[in-house]
Amino acid sequence: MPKWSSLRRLLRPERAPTSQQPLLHPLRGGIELVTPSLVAGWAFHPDVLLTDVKFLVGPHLISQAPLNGHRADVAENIGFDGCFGFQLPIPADFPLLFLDAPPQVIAVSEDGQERFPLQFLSDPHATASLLNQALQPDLRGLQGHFDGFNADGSALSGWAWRPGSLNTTIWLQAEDLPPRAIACNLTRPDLELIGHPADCGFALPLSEWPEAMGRRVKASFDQEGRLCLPQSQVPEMGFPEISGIIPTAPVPMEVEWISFSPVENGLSRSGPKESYLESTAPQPKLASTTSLDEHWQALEDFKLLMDHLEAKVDDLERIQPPLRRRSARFRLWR
Amino acid sequence: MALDLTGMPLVDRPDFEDLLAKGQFGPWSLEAERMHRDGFCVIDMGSPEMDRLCGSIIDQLSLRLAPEIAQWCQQQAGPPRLQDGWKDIPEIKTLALLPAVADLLKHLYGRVAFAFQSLNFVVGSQQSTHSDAVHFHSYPNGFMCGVWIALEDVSDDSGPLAYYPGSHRSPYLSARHLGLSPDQLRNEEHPQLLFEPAWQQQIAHDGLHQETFLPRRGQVLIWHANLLHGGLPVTNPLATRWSQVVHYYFDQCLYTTPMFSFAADQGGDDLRNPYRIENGRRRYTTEEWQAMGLTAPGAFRQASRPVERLRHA
Repeated sequence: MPKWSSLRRLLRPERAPTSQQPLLHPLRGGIELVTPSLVAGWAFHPDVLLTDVKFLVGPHLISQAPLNGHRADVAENIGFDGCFGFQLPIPADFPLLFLDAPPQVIAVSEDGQERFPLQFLSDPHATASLLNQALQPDLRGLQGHFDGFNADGSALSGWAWRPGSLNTTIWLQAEDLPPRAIACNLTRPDLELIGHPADCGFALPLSEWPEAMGRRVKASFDQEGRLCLPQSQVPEMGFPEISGIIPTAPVPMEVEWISFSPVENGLSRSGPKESYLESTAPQPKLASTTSLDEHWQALEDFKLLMDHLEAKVDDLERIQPPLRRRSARFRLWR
Repeated sequence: MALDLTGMPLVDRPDFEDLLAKGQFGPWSLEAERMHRDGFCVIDMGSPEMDRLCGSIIDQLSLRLAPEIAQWCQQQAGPPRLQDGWKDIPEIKTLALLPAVADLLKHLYGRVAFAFQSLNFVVGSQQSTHSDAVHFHSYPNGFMCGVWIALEDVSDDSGPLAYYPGSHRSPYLSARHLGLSPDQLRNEEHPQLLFEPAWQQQIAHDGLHQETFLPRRGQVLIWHANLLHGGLPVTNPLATRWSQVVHYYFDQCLYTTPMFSFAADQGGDDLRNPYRIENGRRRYTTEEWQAMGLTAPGAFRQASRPVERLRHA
């Protein structure tokens, strides 16, 4: 694949810094992830060498980072090799209580003359409100990760914390159910090895949330469920790609994010595009009343029907249907 | 006025050695190295004009602080001092705005500095060991520093300035970091006492060693916001230690009082709108403050000043 940095000057003559000549092409890329501690994404412009990304609130510079992340998926997408990814940290000790001015993230050219506002890829209209939400004092600086099911598949697990804060709570969100607050105070020595406090884990046994069975689940920093914890595939479960499903609830995170995501800061670097993850984990032991069994059987039948319909859609789209375990009752929802 | 809430002082940057090799610090490379390594540097500003300024300040303050000096000599009061004498003594203002110091700070920090507070001491302050960064600090962190000017030769029985080289690398502290509540601060007459165990622990943990500053008139010590320092006990009550301390902030920052900065649900950070000695006005006008979307500064009203040894001994 040709390198963009070496081809750019050959393909496009350098524009004068004060040139009023309109650009021939639009910016490509945008914001893929917004959390209270990180804004991440990628940006590329065929006519302009972009070098930095800045997070502004009104005229004030809150954070800046170079466009230096190599993203094989982006290179594949645009046809040039180069470093187009960025990660903008949002510091936890940011001292402003209220921010009246509108926030924005912009990509900036090498000479600082060209500035391109970046939008949230999965919902451009929500960009400003999401950035605002990430800067709220009660959330600012929170970092975490939703691991999905734990090793034996008996609980939903992950971790979250904020520098300088003793107690952290995240929210588990299941479709059509009220969010469930989870304290992040579980000791997990593995977290210390990757630079996080050892006692910031969380785990919710599936048996303690029976009403969520069969529903998609995600974890969020905020009660409203807009700022989701980054979520990766659980490797040993071999979650398949499930195409063609439209979520019934708003999905604040770009689905393609996972495939573009960098590995730092607890984000995944998974290969294939993921959307919804279905559990192949052992199922919890539930109350063995007849009515409950009938209830689960009805749900199972309905799920089989849905799987059948999905397979048909996949066939129509000439997509190889993924291998799936039919007994799964929990889904991880992005 | 646009804020730049990113980055850190050049002397604190992890790529300091590269910056040094590239000549980033211009004529102040030696001072930059010392500041980076030890948390302070010393320059000699001795000159006839400096002698005249120092003499004039001493003469004026001898009259103005005569009652306090008499009380001190009779051990009836703590060390006399004058805060913000720049407002009505032109020589203090001149010393607070030395062009060489401003140039040095711009090179070492990478931003334009402005003096916001002056303190004039007659004798040794006897302040217990502390970091200024608890009393006034900035966001981004580190854009504050102190400048200590000897108005006369300092003797070792006058309670000279003492400091711990390398202590500037310790973590910055605030009420939030120590888990202190607003009530705890309100109930403590000298809130700095709540921070002192952490500093002493840091000194012991890092094996830091104390050094003493015995300058000649006109010598200037510039110290890092987080350098642990204080005043040694005065062993000769008749010995003076005329000196002037000037505190500097840097442009495009937010300014805070970490001693009174709490978690968001306890009131958040205590923002300051410091003076700019150069023009005698607050750093931000009311209009600028409102345009920045900031809350009112100084939400937590309580004096923040280093504790003198005698007061809690």
